[in-house]
Amino acid sequence: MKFGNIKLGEIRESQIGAALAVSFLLFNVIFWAYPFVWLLILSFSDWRFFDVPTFSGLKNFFIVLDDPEFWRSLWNVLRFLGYYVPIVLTCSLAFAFGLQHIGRGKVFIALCFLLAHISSGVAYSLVFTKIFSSTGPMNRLLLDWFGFSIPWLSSPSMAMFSISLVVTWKFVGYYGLILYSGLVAIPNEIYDAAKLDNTPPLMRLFKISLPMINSQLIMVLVFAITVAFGIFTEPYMMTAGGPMESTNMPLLVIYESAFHRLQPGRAALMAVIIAIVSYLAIKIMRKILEKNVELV
Amino acid sequence: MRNIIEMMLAGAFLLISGCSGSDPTPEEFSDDKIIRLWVAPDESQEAFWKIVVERWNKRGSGIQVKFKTIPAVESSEKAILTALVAGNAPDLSTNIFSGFAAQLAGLGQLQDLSVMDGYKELVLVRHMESIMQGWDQGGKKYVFPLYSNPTLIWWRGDILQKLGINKIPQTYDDVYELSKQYAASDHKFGMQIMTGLNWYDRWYDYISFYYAASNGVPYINDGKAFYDNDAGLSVLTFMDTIYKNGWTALDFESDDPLTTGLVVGAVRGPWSVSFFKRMYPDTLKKIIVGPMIRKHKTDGKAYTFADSKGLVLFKHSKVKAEAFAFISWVLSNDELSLLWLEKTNLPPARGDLMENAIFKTFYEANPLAKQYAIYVDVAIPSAFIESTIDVQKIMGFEMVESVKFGTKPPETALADAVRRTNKLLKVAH
Amino acid sequence: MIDLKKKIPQKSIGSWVITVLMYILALTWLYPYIWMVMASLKPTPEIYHTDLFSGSFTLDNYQFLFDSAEKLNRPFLKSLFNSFFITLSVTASVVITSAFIGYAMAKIDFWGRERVNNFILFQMVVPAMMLLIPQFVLIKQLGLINTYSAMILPVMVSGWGIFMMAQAFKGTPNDYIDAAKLDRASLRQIVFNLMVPLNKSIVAIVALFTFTGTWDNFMWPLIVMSDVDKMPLSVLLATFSKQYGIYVGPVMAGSVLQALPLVLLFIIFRRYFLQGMSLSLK
Repeated sequence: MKFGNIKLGEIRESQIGAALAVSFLLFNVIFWAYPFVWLLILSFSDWRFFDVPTFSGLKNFFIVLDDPEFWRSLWNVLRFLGYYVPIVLTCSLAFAFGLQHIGRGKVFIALCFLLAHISSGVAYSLVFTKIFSSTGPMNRLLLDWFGFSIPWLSSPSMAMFSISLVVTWKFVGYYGLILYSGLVAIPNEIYDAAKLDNTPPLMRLFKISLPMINSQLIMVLVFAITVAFGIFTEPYMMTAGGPMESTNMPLLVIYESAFHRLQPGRAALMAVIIAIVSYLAIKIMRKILEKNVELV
Repeated sequence: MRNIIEMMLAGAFLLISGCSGSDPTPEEFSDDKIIRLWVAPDESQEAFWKIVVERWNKRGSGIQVKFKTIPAVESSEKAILTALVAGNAPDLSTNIFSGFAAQLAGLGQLQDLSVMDGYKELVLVRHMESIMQGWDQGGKKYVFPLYSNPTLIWWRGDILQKLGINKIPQTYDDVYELSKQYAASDHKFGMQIMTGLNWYDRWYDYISFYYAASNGVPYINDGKAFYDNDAGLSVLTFMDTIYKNGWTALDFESDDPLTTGLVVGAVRGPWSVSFFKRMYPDTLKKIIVGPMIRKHKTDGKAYTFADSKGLVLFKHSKVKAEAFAFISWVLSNDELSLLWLEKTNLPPARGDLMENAIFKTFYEANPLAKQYAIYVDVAIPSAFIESTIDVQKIMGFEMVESVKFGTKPPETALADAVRRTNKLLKVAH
Repeated sequence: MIDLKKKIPQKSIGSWVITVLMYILALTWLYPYIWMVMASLKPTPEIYHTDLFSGSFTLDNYQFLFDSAEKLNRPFLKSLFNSFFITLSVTASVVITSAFIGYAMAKIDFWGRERVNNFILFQMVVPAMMLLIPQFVLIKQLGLINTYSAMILPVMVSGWGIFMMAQAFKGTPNDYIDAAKLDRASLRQIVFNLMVPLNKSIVAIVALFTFTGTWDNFMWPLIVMSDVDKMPLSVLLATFSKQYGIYVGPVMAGSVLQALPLVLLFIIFRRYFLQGMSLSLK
């Protein structure tokens, strides 16, 4: 970029650049900014899609905050995270460590795991519904080997666990790859030093490996929280939010409120609240975990 | 290379501009002088309307009718709502259940049919005076019932016989007795109690049982939950007993449990007859249809739930009188009622199914269909409330599932459901 | 990018055990796919009662699926076409717009570029779910409910795509561009004949990830489509299984149809997928 030496062509070019940027912005004014206006209108009005929206003040707020289904869906996000985070972290860490120690066929193994990540939500939800069904292959195996079966999706205490297993299946490859990229960046000298000190392996994990891949761990956790708040296809297909609403996630509640009960105002408001809560959750998580890094 | 990219570019923009331009089919908007009818997305019902519409259009006594099936993705209700929101709903639609009619009427989308020309005559011809009382919404009739599907209980006759039971079970005690015997054998159950996890599945479990137990008392009345009574409790206690003793499975999702012989009995509607005919003809031969079960056997037929669907005329229609004339013509014709019955096996909503000679031969040839027809006059539709989904979700969550998983005793479950339902209905009004 | 080729020098017994274990796990991860394909080839009554690789294999389930267009009003072939049409349109549009705007963001100096860049970054962190309902209202106002446009228009331009392309284009030396300009190359020629071929892998990555994301999209089409004739496969399959879930075989056949294009794409372009995933790590 040379100043004071601007040629005619460059002025023309900067105009083209600006025009391209403007077209991008224009698109976003229509499909992104304008919906925000509607978000504001919807949150404060009574509207059933047909009539003219009428201002209703904070009525939607009171109804949403008094809705047990809404609160339960938030609680379910927490429950999901309670299962999902430990499982997926353990699995993807194991995957990353395993990958580090493989001689041949690294790419092949990574691809097998990543194939799950690429699969289509509706399809694998259907497959897992069948695999987990009362007479499905999973239960047949358990019955043959151990003499009992598990109500994977039909008991309120198991259903969320099963869904988090499915989501783990999907994401382990991807998360594992993220952690792996952190692990291979750790200089070998650090491990060698630890070995000389006779640091036991478990200590090495908590004192060296995990702190060294802190930024990758946080990235994985951000993804996990995002998934927890935004999950729709899996519970919609596998449990429809049941049994006993134990897998009723926020997006299911929003979807039903807007398109079955025709209460778009309440649904939009719920979406805003959920978005804010998910933002806060990520922020809090970062604050806590990034503090720990400084301690080490 | 350049050519290829240019072609790609041109192609992409053609696609994009093409699809936005050509979309809403023009026929749906252009011609006002046509009656647009949506019918239930069901093979056999479609076959009926095809014949009827063809005949009407050939007769030439009114304006032409064009019909298509409801483009139901998830449910007919969602499809109709989407069409209304998008502004391309038809003039007439079938497949409307009571609660959905209440919702549509609440949204101001429906035409009161009782003020239309020829309404009274139509009711008279079909002997529907008493049936129509069940479809009253504050003195107005927004929906005209087309058929009424009572729910009844299917029993595996061969298994009953094997168990040494010679009469069809009618009371809870009968079911306990047979469950005790049958569930003693390896991995078997007595009855399928819950049909599914969706809100509408309450029609086929709690509400069906409740109507039988209460002799047809409504479950919602005057904006309040009305099942807070002995009947409501007895149903829940029955379910509780079945679940506690393991006489039913937590889910039967993989195969129909009647065909696999996992259970002896299950609640089924007349639509199952055609399904079984196609999928499990051998099982169908072993099926005996019995009444809805209740606590004590009393005189008279046991009441039950009617999965009843009707027809509505939308307020935005510009051809209301003409559309109603078409409907009157279809529905007042006995011969067409018979055609309906032959095509769909579903009992037409008429008060004279057993008396009218025209249906006699059909019912003699189809004993299963006849069983259902017998119960049409004691089959009651679901409540006319806007918040059907929420009311039935509460039923499921607080009562049926609570009892299923044993989290609450029946009394508490009932009280909780009633309390939450009343609160919900209060907010809604 | 992650170096998966990097080898570990020592070959202890422990690392052999881990290798074998990882192979077993990798195959376990494929099990759902294998089960899906096998189930789609068996008659429904046999699916739950035969071993994985035994049973009488037949293509009846696929036959059923394609026949159900007539009988059950579920046009699977048409919806397969719809899915391809929608997905390819979106992918083409995103690639083209991202290339042009990404070029502008990377190589053209214009007033406000920083701000546009900040806007793109901001937009990427705002949760999309917040705008779900208002975007539906917008589509309703535009009269586009139940049209292909409803599924294509809102995602024709992607902030993420622009960002990725711009990042990559920045690495292309300006000398090439200057040389092209001396030859009086137009903007379109610079982008298509120079930038795109020089940054093939990033273009492939944007295209592949847009393709899989659009193909897999479920909630949005579920909301805006109600006409079975214009529905993408994901929604048609979901509604088919909700209504006819008892036909396990055909449902699995439908799942194969839905999963297969992505699996093939992944196997063919695995290099780009791996690259793309590791790019997002930075």
